[in-house]
Amino acid sequence: MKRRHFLAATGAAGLAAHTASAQTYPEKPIRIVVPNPTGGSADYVARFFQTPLQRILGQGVAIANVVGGGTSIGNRQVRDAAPDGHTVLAIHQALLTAATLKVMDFGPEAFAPVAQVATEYTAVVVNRKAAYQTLPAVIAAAKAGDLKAGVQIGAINHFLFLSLSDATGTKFRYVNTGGGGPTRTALAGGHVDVAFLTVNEAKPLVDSGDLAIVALFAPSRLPAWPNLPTAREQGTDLLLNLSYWWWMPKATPRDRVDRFAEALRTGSQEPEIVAKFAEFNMVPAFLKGAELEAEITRQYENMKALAARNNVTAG
Amino acid sequence: MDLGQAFLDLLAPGPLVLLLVGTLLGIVVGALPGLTGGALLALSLPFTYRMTSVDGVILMTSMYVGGISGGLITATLMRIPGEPSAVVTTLDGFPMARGGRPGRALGLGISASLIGGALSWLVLVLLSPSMARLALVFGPFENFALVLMALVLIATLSQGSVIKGLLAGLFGMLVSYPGIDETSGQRRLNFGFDEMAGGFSTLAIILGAFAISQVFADAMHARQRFESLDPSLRGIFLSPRDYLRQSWNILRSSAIGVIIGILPGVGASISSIVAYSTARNMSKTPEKFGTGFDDGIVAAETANNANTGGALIPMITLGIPGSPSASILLAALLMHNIQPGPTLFTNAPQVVGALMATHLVAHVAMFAIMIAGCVLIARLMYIPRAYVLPIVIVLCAIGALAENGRMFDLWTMIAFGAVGFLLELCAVPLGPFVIGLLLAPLAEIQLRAGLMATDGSLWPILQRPVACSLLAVSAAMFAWPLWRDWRRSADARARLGTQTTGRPS
Repeated sequence: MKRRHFLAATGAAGLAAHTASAQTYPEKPIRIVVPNPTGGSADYVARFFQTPLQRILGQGVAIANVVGGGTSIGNRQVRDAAPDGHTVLAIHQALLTAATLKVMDFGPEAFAPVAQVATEYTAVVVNRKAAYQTLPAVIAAAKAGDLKAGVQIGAINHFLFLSLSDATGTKFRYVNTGGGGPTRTALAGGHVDVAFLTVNEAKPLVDSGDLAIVALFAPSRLPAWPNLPTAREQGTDLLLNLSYWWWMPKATPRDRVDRFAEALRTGSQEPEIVAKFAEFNMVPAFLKGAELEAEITRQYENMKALAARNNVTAG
Repeated sequence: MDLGQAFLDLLAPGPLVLLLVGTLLGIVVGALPGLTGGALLALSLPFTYRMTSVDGVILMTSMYVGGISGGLITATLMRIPGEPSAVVTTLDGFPMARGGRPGRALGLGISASLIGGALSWLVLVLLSPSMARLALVFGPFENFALVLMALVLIATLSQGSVIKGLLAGLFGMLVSYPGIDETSGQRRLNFGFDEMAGGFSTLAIILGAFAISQVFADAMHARQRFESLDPSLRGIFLSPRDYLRQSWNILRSSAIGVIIGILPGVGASISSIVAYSTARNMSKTPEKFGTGFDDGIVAAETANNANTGGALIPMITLGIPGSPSASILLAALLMHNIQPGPTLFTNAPQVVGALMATHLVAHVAMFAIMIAGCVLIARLMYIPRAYVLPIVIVLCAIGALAENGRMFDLWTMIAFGAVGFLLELCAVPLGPFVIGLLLAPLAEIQLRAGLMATDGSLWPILQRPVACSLLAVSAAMFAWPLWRDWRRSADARARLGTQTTGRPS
């Protein structure tokens, strides 16, 4: 009897807290953790939303770059934060790659996925002086000899190559040149032969005449780059993209997760952000709830299978 | 792009105030132990969104210049490098200041910063497009050979015992290893602690080993004052004779700073290390380095300011930032929908103009502010240590926490404070320790990337002209001091020999 009363009471209190939480949230400034350094694409996307989110949520929004441990330090900080919706993680598939390679002993299952705001399709890029300037030519060259691929071992640009070599039956020799910025420099200097970059990363060195974009792994051509053919047009039906995702600690109340997700949806429809996405050649692709979870699971399973097949699950 | 117009625009009240505020903030933050110019740039990034792109560039470039320069103040007066790039400045700046000439030590550093910056500005304005290609020439093996050249300094830098210097260098390398193995993406040496997955923060270690250990040491003589100080701060302004005597050192160190600044794979601290070690190796009196010698301060401070001009060169012409601070500047431009690269000069000439004009004017402003403030700043030396030490501890703690917001970094700093104190107690030099710490990860990543490209073969490093000549230079830099010492002692023996044989009659 007493026990039942207690349960009823806590249940009611819980319900009250629940409804109250949606009405008052956010009650203090929100901290967005970006586990990459300032000036990478994951960082840009978080910063696009900083001002719009402040306006929509009526609270301050601070961005903290918590760097180190191959993104695991920042991820862990958000996982262990108070689950009250005031700490948010902004990261793309790096969360999945770090978990696949067991750099972290937890993965996407340790978080509540909030939303996907955009995707950015990636491209195979080569040196303009190289003999291979189309995707079939790159694949043929890779099959004939060893093409040096600039990647950061275990990061998303490494997995993009694994997907390509899996789909086309080629092998690349991986050279650890790092993330997009340093890899692009190594490619322009002729220190590696081929790289996966976003169109935006490649652009300055395409303009300077050093690099050539061979194929965009997108469903259709980009409006700003009408002459850039897709991989599909060149016979490789593969879509490879970065997915910009937002997460909260696992136990965050659903209504708070949803309130933040809706704020992201509203923000991503504002002209300011639509223009930014266009400028950065990103494609708005809002997802939340079950759809988002299905997309994350699909990519995660795919990644684990790739890692197992190519024997990169070290650790 | 009309550079003259850019200068005129910059001298209007609004932009000029922005420039002065940026430079001053940069100097203050650069001087504060722990808070680095890079952190300031990252923090001010959101403020630039609401400005015009030109105003944003003026603010951030002046902060960049101020931050790199401010580091010398605390490095000289308190042996606390306000910026990692000022580590080498402590080697001669601090002994000179403690030896009773703080004004002279600051004056040398400030003037060298101005001249190094101005010379790098000339390269930035006149030679950008052609020099930027250098950023592409350097692949993993070239970068490795360059880092090796700086590592050789460990052997030559050691005051007193070479063995202790090498020991300190190796210890520095060792503490750089825990964390993520960048070449496999795997955790290593974290001993099962999650917090160790990121390794030890370099900034926290430097703060601990230099600042906190100095606090421990000073606390033992907290009542002591420096009786021998020269209260007039004589020597803040250098005489024409000083400039003449340092001219070759200044030119050489600037060239080293600019070139290393252009290379994206290595940072500003390496340029001052290489410039210092080159100056020492080419000096007729290498034994004076490390005791409060003019040439040491000038080499270090010329090079790290020359590095700023260098780092901007590939950023504006190829969109490749030459340093971490330049990459934040790049982020600010991108957020304004300005894409640096070859099209920048035609698409946004006013931004290029503002950046170039600010780089020079901010250096002049930095010089004026620091010389004017020098009189006040140098008084820090007179304040009883008991008042200064608690403030230093608080500032260091803030700096260690501000980097990533982790308590672990704070504990790291305190632990390395104890380590640094013990090392100094055993007369093990800290310079080689920090050099090992800063350079080992770079050397490792570059060498292993190079070996991945050649399928594990080391031979190609000798077939690449740039890498091979850098290796030869490092070998020479390693052998030259040993040979010089050996010849001297041989001379001495020979003289001793003639004396003994000449004596019998």
